[in-house]
Amino acid sequence: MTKKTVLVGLDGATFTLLDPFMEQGVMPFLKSFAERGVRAELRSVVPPLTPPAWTTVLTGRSPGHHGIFDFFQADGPGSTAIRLATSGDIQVDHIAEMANRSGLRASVINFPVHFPPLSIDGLVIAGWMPWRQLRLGCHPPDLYDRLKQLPDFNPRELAMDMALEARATEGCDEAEYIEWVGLHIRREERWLEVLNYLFDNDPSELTAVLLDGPDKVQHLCWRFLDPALWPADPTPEEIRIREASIGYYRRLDDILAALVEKAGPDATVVMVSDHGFGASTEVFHVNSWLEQAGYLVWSEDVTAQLSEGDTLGMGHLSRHSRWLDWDRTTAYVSTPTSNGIHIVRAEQHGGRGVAEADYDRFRAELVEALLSYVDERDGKPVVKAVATREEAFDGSAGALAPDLTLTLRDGGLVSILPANEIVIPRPQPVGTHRPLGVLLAAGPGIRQDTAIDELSLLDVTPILLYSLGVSLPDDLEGRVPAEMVTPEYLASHPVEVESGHSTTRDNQGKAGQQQLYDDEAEAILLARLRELGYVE
Amino acid sequence: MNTITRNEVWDATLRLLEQLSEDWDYGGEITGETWLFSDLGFQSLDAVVLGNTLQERFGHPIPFADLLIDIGQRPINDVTVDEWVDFTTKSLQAYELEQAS
Repeated sequence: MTKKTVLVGLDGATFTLLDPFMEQGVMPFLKSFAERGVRAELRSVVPPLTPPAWTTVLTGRSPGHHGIFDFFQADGPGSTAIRLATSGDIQVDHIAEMANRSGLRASVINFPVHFPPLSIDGLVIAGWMPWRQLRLGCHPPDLYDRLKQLPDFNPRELAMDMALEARATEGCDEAEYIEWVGLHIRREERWLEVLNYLFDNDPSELTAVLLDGPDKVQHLCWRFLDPALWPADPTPEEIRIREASIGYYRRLDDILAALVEKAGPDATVVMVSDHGFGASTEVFHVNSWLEQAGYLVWSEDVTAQLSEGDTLGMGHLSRHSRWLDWDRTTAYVSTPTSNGIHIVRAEQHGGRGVAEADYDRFRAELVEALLSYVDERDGKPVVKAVATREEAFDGSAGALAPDLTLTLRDGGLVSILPANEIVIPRPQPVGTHRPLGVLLAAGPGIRQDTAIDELSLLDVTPILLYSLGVSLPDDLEGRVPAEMVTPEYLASHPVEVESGHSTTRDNQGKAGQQQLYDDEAEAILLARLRELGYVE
Repeated sequence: MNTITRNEVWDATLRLLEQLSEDWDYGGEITGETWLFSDLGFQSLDAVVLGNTLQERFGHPIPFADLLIDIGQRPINDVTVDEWVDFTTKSLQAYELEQAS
């Protein structure tokens, strides 16, 4: 029998905060939900970044297969031009399509990399949309007009309004911190209104919704939230910001309670985050390090380019392509969001760069140099780990991925800007991603009050399909964790695997078509990423 | 011989902008002289989404980045509906010719 299944995405949620909040009475509903279900830490993908991670949640495939590695996408293997990643870049089936094949509807609400929306049997509201064009992120086309009839419908709060988002930047004053938190409380309330409407009027067997407030609030307010960073004698301003930030989680708890109640007692509800969270305390200027190590040469007019005014924010996305001397650069980082180093390969760059025969040696030496680099302040290595493309992105879509992906000692993201110093301490810690997120699940057949060992983000699609009663395509990379389910339930509901069905699209994604690249998109995206702490 | 005409692109663009502008409570008439950024209040991502939707509509890639780079170098960083339609039409027609040759 098919069961109603609800996925609640809590972007960036971490037990580092949720556990104390559950214990302290800030999130009483979540505590009761955990007691009637299963909890586990959930290991994210590499890199633990919102677009690749949520795409894994909703496809059951790793980035090397689904093809999303960053907010941005290279135009082609070896291309130095990048553009905003879109749904057309995803090279595998979506869980909504898997559900549809079994005759089940799906609603997918507010997830990134969902524009243009898929034409599924069900509903899509794409996330990370500009509010003026949220209509275009909706499927079916009449959905937006229906949502407009809701009493408190406000697209500026549901979607992206740069005028609102740009106010929150690192180091903003108390009022702006508190307004930022307030915006995200209102945003979750708007999404609850949308979901209530959909549950009542247009229900699906699978409903997936992303609430992105935890990530947004934590990026800006981490030092006010993390118990480990809370000062012994906080200032009145710090206390007010902390109280406001905690207020977000109090309201989130109410919203989760309302959502679960609306889903009904027979529904399986799975709450997951795409990654965890922690503090970033320094900025590693990776391109300057590459320059110092002899891999990268800035163009002569980079300083002038950096000081150029740009009222529309044009020209930022592929800015590295104008900053670098491509005749003398062999390795570079093009985006501040993925910690990915690209090696300039001669075969892809008209003979400039690293010859194919020399690639393995070159890459191995670069890895060694990165791992052995130490911060002169403390004499300790800055780069904790380096994953090669084959290690991090093994799969049919891996050709677009960076050659190397760095894990930094503070878990943070690199800067791609030139700087006089390679490692610069931050004046205050900011929130950044960590590999371990959360999973909480409750519903028919799921064990109660049980903590299980770490699961993988890859397991979420199998868990959801199992709950729906849908056979699992046999190329999904995760599993249905038997330890989540009671033995009796598992005996009466064995996991069914559908052999011979590949979830990899035979057209290598629908993208080819999307040439939105370059300079326009990231104006906003960079502004948003900056305020989230991705860009210094 | 091009199959996509300027009129088609104009109609598709205007229909889209008129539909969207209702969601923004924009009260003015949208004409060829309307500025996307200063009159309609576009932000950069709006231009991306509009461009992508037109690509989807016509099924061909359109290098809007080239247009936006050009806009970024102007004294006034803006583009009229006419310019947008002209650029889209030329790009689509050039793509058709390239495919036919």
